[in-house]
Amino acid sequence: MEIRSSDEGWEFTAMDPFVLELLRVLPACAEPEDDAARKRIFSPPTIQPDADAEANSEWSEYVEPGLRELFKSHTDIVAADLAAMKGEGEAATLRIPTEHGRAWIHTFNQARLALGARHGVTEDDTAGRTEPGGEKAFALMQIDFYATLLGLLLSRTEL
Amino acid sequence: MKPVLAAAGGDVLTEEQTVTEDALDIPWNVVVHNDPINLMDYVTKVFMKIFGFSRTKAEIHMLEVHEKGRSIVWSGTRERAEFYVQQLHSHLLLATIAKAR
Repeated sequence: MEIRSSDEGWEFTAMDPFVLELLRVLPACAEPEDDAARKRIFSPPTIQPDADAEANSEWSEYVEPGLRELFKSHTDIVAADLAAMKGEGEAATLRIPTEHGRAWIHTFNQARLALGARHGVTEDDTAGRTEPGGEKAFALMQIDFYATLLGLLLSRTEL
Repeated sequence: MKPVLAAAGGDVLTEEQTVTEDALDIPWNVVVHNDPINLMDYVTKVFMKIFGFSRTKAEIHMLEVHEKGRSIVWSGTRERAEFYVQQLHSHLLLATIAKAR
């Protein structure tokens, strides 16, 4: 994979099919529709020992919808950039305009967190102390891949 | 609460005292919790953006989160604390409010 950056944004080329697929599934991975991902992406404002059921309930009712809308606006931008990708296979070119940087950073992060929640990823896992193989190991590879690209975009994007 | 005060002329005055929640307000802390996924540089940048911290101060809080599991990043009124937690959640950080003890 080759990545070129300029004032206009980033251009991804020479992507092998596996990399291309990891990028294409990014918006779906970020979806917080399963219980584990939803709990992580929409975490409560109070937890034990300070848990406040009323505050948490009001948060779900009044704050969560706004966050859900914000997060969807980010994943929609990413999905649109992916849909606008030109070429097929290794000839495919993905362009991320500079002004979409924040949406991509957010979506990379949301996908990483959702994957981590779905697969019960712990500090030991991210420190490389997980047995290779299996769904969790695949998820960890995906989390690392998205982290690399997130870091790249973060280095020249204002949050 | 109705404290009784002796006035200069010998009369007894009763002073109504309203104890508002604000007057007694114990500060609320904004607490950021560790998670195994969020990148350290990302967390640092979020702190700089939301709280206007210098990079050094943001890194100190980020490392406290990473090493001790949590860091109190702000204290003050409940309303403002809730606003900051909402901002932190919008950047997908694990953040809560808790009354200062």
